[in-house]
Amino acid sequence: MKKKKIVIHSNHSRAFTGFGKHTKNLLQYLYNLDKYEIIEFANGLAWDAKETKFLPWKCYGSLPNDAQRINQLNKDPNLARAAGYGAEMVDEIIKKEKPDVYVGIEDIWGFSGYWNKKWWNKINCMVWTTLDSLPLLPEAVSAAPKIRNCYVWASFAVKEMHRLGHKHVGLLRGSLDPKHFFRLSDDNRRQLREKQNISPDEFVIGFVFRNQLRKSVPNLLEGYKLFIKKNPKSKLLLHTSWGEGWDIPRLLKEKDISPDNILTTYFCHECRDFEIKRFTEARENCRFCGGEKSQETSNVKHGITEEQLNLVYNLMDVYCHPFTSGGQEIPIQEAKLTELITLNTNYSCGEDSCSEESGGFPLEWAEYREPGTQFIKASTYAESICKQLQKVSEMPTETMAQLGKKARKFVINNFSIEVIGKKFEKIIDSMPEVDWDFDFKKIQSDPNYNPPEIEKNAEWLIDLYKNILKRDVDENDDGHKYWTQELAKGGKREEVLNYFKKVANDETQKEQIPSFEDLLDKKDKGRRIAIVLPSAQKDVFLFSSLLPSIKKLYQDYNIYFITKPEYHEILDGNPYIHKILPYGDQLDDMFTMEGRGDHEGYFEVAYFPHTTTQKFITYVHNCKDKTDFNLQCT
Amino acid sequence: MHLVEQYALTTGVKITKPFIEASYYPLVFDKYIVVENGHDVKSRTYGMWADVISEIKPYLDEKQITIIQIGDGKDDQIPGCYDLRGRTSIKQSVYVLKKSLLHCSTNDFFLDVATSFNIPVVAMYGSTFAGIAKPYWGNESQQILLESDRKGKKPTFLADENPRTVNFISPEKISNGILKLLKIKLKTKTKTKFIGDLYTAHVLEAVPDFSPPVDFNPELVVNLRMDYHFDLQNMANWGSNRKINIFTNRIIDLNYINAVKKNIVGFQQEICTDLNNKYLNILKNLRVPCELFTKNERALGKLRMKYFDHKITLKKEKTLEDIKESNKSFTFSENFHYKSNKLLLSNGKKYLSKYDYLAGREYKGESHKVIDDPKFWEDQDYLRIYEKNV
Repeated sequence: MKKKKIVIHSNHSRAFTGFGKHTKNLLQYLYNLDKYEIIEFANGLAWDAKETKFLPWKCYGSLPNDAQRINQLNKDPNLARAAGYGAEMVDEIIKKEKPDVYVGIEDIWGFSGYWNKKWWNKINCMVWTTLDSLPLLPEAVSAAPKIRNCYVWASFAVKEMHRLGHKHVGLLRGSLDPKHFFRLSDDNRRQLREKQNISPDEFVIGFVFRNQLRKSVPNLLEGYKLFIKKNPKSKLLLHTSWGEGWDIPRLLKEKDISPDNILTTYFCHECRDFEIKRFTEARENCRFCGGEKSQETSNVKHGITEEQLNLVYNLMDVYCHPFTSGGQEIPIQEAKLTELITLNTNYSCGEDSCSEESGGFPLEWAEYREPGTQFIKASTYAESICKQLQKVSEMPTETMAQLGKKARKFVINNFSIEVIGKKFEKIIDSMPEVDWDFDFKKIQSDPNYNPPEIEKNAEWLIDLYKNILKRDVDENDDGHKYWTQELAKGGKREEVLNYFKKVANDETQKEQIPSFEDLLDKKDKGRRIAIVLPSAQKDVFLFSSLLPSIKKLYQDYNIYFITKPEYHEILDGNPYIHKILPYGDQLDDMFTMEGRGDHEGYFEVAYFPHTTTQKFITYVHNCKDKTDFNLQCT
Repeated sequence: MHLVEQYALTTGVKITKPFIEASYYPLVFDKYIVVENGHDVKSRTYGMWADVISEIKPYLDEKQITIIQIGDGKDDQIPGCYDLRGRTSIKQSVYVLKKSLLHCSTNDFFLDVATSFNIPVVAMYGSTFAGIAKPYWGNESQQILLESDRKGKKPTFLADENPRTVNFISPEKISNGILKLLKIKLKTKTKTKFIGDLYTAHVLEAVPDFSPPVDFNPELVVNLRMDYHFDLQNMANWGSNRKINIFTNRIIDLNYINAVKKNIVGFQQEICTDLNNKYLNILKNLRVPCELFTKNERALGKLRMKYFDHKITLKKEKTLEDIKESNKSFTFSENFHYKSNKLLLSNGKKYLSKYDYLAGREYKGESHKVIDDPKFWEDQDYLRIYEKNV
């Protein structure tokens, strides 16, 4: 039986991010099954990046190889962002691999525009995304009906999607590998504390965080300040990068908390060991290897391994995770796997981790709205943090142990890759065979189509989409909804029809634009000269006085003059020019035109005369400069 | 270094002759000159073409030489020219140029085209040195290059300048250049003595001492001078179907304002004794774009305190001393004439300035003498003062 071919599109499986870790777990699980043909499509890597070559499975990066193309994309923040999520190469991988299943595991906006792709829902398409706030992101709500296999990581988002009528949206949590996180024996925990100079009777509260979670640090410190009054022998361990976001030392000063009570993780990039101690400087000497200023707090570039992170959790007595909102908050599950009692804000994904069955306790919160999006965000009460910390600190050891075991079991039953992997398998296995022919040729729009008499507006619009724009839409489509509203408001069918015809015309014209390479002669390869001079009339005209000399120097070469279309007329009939081509920004680059590395280029010589006259004006010199040689033909 | 020389250096080749094709364009004139005034690069748009044309046209008419304006359809029309704006392709413009007696424009592509065919040219340069952009081909003796003095400053090289330095070139230099290359002897010589900052802008003003004809619908906003003559009914008639900018030194009945508010694009309120904050707030609520000003510099501070929530501008009345300050060599002469880009309508008659209106000196097409009177100097921003028969 033919194996189903699955493209898994997400953060690279070696990336130290929530999506990256989850993708690694999933790919390893699927690889071990040997049941499917799996292909990783990794965001953040170039298509042929060397990192893609050393994996057990086939892997492609989702960025183009061409550095020039990336530079071009980077000029437009929207294009750059979309490319970062794989928009540039996703069609390429579908064309190349012809998969049975496409699985996208990313933020929902990473898939923007996918619903209109030729292959969307022609093969089995699945989006497995995180949502973190209420009301749900409008983009996610409008996308849901277009995603046949739509899964989210947290139950609050499923409930809300169902409430909004999208009953097909399912719950499929992000996965964890329980073998990385576990509780050490009491002896080992004691030794660990000894090594890190933490006395056995100190009550250590831990928080592993970065990014948005920094917003909750002031709340946590306030809660800890209340707690410390009754529990002076407690420490707060903040495992984070101190160089990013909130100025924690300043907050400590403001809240009158002694820095001696606050611990953090320093990582040594020489011996790769870590040390838990009070935060002092951004860079510290390493007491293990003697490295000078080789330690810094854990950050994106330098961080501890999963194994070391497990040790960090094992130094804690309780894990406290106040947050504003979240998609899954993996550190909570990691802490639970190490049998810690977890305290977390009882909002969004946190609802799943502070239920009684989860072995965690809820933190109460107040609502505030995020400016702009109006998303509900949580500000965790300091009093609640203090209250729950007090509760855990006063808890008998046995009860703590029981709750810890319950917490681990909860994670294994709900988040472990074995459980999630099986659910995923079931979903994949239930997907139908793909009978699409992977024909990517675009069906031409038909601006000449005239619709028959159709009474109902909804059906009339579907007919226009189908026969003019060649798109299959239903009444849930955003465009359909828009036009339905316009017609209901008194808009005329004739105007709507004209609009559709205009769009069809524009699309047809765009389709007819040839690629740059198609504009060049095939026979003169290796004998081409380009003059790239985008504008203006005067410059183009003046430059024509140099063409006879260029032609004389390069007699066997063809001269291509590249300028904006409005100046082509100035060059018409010029006997020295082989072809006049339209200028585009992407051509204003020597390496694109002449080539480098893998890119062969299009021309042997490309001149960019406007560089010193328009981009950077370099020739004025107050009209006092002199030339030591004759620039004119005699 | 000239632009084309820089291109030669960049590419490492020598300069020869440029190439451009011409396409036939039917013309009914044998003898003509060509003018062009761009629109996209503002700093290359000359603002006193009307003066140039009015000075050369009598001579050219005598010799049956037509003036043709070429260029883009969006270019401002130059009065007195046969208009080919937007009607010719580049190649047809080249044909028109090739057959012409002379071409005159600011630094532009057509100058280079004309000189490449050895057509005489008069060229104006403001925002750039003439040396880097001047015609590279053609007979230099047939080229008159006029470079703005830029009041002693270096070129800005900006696409849009304030002030536009090409406008510092006085019109008679251009007209004299054209006539010289056409070998036409001047009968009357003029010399510009002063150009007001707003001279290149067209201003239409009306005194509401009459009602305009219903079909009078100028493209320009009409400055309605309620400060010259206060008549509410005429104000309402002016504002009923044309855009108005009201100047007033009295408060105006709000009922009348309300009636024409949709056509009020500006409301210049000079601070007067009966003005109050309540009235100003009502104007604000009516969305009337009211701007407060005073001519009284000494009272400015107190007025700004009184009307703290409003912006008050000081508009001092201009005097002869202001001209002398900007042009140290300016000395009044009986021989001075002036042109104005302001047209003031009163009782169906036209005037070139407030002074002429007050003195009853109607405008009938001829130039008017400068009068050394404080009322005359008030309008100096809109005037070009020149000496005749120098």
